[in-house]
Amino acid sequence: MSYEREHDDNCIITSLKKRLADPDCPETFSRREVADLLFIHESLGNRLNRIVKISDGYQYELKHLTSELQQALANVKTLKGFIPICASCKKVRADDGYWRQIEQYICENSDASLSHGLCPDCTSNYFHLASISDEAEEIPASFSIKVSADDLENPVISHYLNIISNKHFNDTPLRADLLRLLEKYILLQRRQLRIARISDKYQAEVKEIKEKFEKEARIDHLTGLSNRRDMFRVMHAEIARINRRGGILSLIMFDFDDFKSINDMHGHEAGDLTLQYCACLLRDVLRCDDTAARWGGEEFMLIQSGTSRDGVFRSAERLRQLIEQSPLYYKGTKIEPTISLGVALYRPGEPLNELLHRVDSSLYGAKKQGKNQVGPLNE
Amino acid sequence: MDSIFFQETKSSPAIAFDSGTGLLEISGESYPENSYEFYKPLLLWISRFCTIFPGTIVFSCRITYLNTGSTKSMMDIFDLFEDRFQRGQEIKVNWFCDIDNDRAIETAEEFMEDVTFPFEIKPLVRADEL
Repeated sequence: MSYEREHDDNCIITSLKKRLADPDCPETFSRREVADLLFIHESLGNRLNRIVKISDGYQYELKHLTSELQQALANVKTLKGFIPICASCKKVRADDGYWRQIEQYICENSDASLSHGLCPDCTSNYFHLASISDEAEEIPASFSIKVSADDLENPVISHYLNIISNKHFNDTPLRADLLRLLEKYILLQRRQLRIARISDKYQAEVKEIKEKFEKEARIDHLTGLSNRRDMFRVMHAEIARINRRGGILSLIMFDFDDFKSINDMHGHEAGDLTLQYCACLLRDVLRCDDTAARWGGEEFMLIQSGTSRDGVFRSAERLRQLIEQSPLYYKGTKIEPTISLGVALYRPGEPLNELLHRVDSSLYGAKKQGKNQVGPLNE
Repeated sequence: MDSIFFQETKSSPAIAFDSGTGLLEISGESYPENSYEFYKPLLLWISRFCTIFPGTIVFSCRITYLNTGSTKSMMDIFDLFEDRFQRGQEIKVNWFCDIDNDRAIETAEEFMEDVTFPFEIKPLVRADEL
């Protein structure tokens, strides 16, 4: 009902009350007044009905809530006593099976349940007891793999195996999981070591092949002596050593006299054989720290350290005599090769190409003076 | 199920996994930059194939070099075979290597150590012997 309407109703009632209080008021009411009263009566009746209906709704709700509350109160009462919480660490006490009551209550009255894991304190307590105790027993029977001495060399494996084999660990809910975990760890550890071993073998194989190739790259395949490339490496290393520590370094370079005629008369095979034969002779007279190389074609180079001026001439002359006095036979034909030699002594600080130039000039001198001899020392 | 055929490259082996015959062949050298990426589809294929192939699976390996990642992947393949073998699948591995090289034999034996299915070490015929 609107405010205006209510206001109107009150006005009618007030006016009627005023009329009734008046002693001169007529005994009868007009038709209009009765109609107004009837209207007000009907409106009030309707409002009363609505109020009753709303009120019933509220009461029903209230009644329902009251009933639920009573049920809840009854449930709460099943959890007797107080929940014992420590005033210091705030943990719920576990004595007297109290946790069972709590769990039962939670299960019955909610969708939640207790999860039975190990709390960090208990876990560390188990580990502590097992690790300080010497009462380790045999490896558990439920361990599905055989533990070897190699496995026990791993500190992680020996540590945890000791713990789970300990009697203090027997009742731990963690034990079964830890056993499986340790088994997996041991297998992985073995796998890792195996992969490393296999990998090492492949790498060793590769390393050997690499070394073989490197060695082959330094060798002259016809004579088995060092090749020119390797000789350069040796020369650089020797010069660096002499420059650092001092000492004497000498080069002997030799070349077969009239080698072309050997090839022309007996064929290239005989020429190759002559070079191989020379290499054999050379190897026999080399000192362990001398290096000989096939410098190219029928040219050879010999590097010696610690040989004096006279010494290098003596070495070169011995070599000349050795070749001259060692003829070889090819298909029944005697071949008597001779060589001309050049010599040079390294001057400290001298560039390598100058040293090579001097030894080459010495060899040229020997050839020019009639071959089969040692050339002059260009100092 | 489709077969798998990969051409040999400088760093990865040739693969011929024939789903019809159950003959799985791998040959060459294996040192791909990312071994796990290379072997992942092969492992997936083998794991599926093992569950559907009714006959004997023969794995023939003619690998002369495996890098560390490939070695691990090869062991993963053997783990799959071992698992299927334990469930009754017939598996056979032929490992071809230079039987004059002790190191190659030892390597093969390392692979053999972890498995219980038939694993045979056979001589690898080199190209220059053909």
